[in-house]
Amino acid sequence: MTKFNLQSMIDKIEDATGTPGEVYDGINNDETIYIEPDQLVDVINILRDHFDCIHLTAITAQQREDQHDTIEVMYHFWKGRGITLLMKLPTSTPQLTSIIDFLPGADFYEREVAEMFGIHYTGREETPPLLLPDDWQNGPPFIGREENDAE
Amino acid sequence: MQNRISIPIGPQHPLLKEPLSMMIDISGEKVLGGSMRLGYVHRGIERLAEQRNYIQNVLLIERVCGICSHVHTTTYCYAVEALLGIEIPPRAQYIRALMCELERIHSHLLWLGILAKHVGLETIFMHAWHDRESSLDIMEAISGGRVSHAANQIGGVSFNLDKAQAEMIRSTISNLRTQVEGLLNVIETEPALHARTQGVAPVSAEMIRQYCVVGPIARASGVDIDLRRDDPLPPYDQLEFKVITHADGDAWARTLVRAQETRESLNLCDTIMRDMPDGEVLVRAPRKVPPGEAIIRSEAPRGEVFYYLRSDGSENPARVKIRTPTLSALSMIPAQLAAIQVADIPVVLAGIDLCVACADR
Amino acid sequence: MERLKKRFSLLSAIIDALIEPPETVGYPFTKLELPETYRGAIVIDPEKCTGCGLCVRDCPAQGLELVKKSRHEFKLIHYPARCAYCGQCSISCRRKAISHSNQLVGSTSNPEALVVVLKEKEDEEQG
Repeated sequence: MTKFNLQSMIDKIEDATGTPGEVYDGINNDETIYIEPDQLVDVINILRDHFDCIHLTAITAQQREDQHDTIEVMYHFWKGRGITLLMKLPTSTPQLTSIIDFLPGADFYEREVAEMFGIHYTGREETPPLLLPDDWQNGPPFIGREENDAE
Repeated sequence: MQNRISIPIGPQHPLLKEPLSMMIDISGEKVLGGSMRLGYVHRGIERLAEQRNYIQNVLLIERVCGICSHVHTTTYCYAVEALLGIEIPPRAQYIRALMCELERIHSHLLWLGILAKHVGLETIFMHAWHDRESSLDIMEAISGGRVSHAANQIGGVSFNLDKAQAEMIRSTISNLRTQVEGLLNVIETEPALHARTQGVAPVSAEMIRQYCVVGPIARASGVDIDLRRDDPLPPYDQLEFKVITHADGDAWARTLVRAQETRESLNLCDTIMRDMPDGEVLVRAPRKVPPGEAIIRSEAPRGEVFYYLRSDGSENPARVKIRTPTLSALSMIPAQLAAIQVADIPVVLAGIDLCVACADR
Repeated sequence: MERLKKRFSLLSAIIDALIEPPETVGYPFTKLELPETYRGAIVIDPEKCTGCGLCVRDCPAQGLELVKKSRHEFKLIHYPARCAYCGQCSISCRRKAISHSNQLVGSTSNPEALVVVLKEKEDEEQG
């Protein structure tokens, strides 16, 4: 297992999937790589097999105020230093592949992001609500913020 | 084949300090498995934080959890200061670390009382919570509140320590060390505690990695992670301390790790008081934060706390994402329940040291 | 010998428990000793307050309100029931006008005690 090296990571992503990831330097403290949503499982496999990095700290989702048609999703890993994978999904059909088959700890994170932002996870059964009540009818709380704030 | 029945535990139950709903399947005295539902203490803090300015958020974030409130505000303040590009004075860094260690002591003594009560040794519970009052008295005398400290400000801390307070801290820590050593002696030699916790619900290091568990639970299974050493916030990069690990991974190892960490925290408090530099404690910070994103991690009493903060140039943050350590420990509970007896359920729950308010936010 | 030592340690613990005074105080019949830095009731120095509103802007619990009648007339109101006793107002105030005493804020059955006017400034110029 080698120590994490950003350039070697990008080369391996290109070997495995054909397109390299781009380095995004907007976040201090973490090495961030911008990848396509369908590269996610391959990239996580590279992290695990080559760099022994499997500790998933969190899955963050956000919607920028000036880009209402995109949801950004970040997977934060940790191995000696923080490594973040950044993806952009369309708000109309946000879809990601679930990784709970080989990383059961991601279950709670996926459920929370699914109920808060309306992201649909393929490869697993339904995502039951984690934090919101069972009879919540108002849709994902983080989408459509301006209307909610005005109330 | 005995009948399979399901017993509900929660949301309100004498075993639990905070509401959590579990459905446990048992057959006779054997536990077969269980499922869990969170969300009874969900207050939507990430969403509320977007509607308040950065200074109000310090006090909102403090109320994510009652036991580890200071570590949450410390991580948030370091994230805002990273976006602002300011560095706080060294004395403020040391005072923040002192409050973090005092909080770790009070949290571990609280946990010790809960574990002893669940096992049936109520005298240890009384003694542990009595000793915990000493650490709460220190925090009240220096910051003004026992549990809601309001110690952190953006740009430093809100109080300074004079000579009389420093002397009071040293003498109280010294008394507390005597008491904690007495408690450690009892824990390490009490046969009833051994019988209830040794061999119960062992967790392998591989399971820890798969469920992304952090904190004392991981260290009790031999996984050597401690963010105070691996990704230190100042001043932990200048302080020397030991990281306690054990290899067995059962409830007894989890007990030992937390109990011995209390001793290490007391030593750290002494080191911090000895090395604290002089100077001011608060620098004035601008109210508007320039656009940017920051990630800060720190070590709470229960494990890794992670903050992602994004600002858009206004006085309110654009996104605050909080990750708390108990969330992944809760996801491991159904797997841990798979091979124990009914009488071991309290020991397993106490060994995880639940903080459901942290997990629900 | 080990068993004798163990029994002796238990005896010393029993004697300690009999000799030590109780840890609790009989509040409210006994006066409560609070440290000087305890964040209790809000007090104001009226000479220093100019009605700038920094405390109102930074209060996380909406416990302070500034009612401005004109440029020189204002009223600063404090709501003890909403207040979180966090001290943010006293740190935000540039003139050190508002601060905490260490008096415990007790419960009350008088609804008027829930609205406290800290400072009221009338316009001095008439006509």
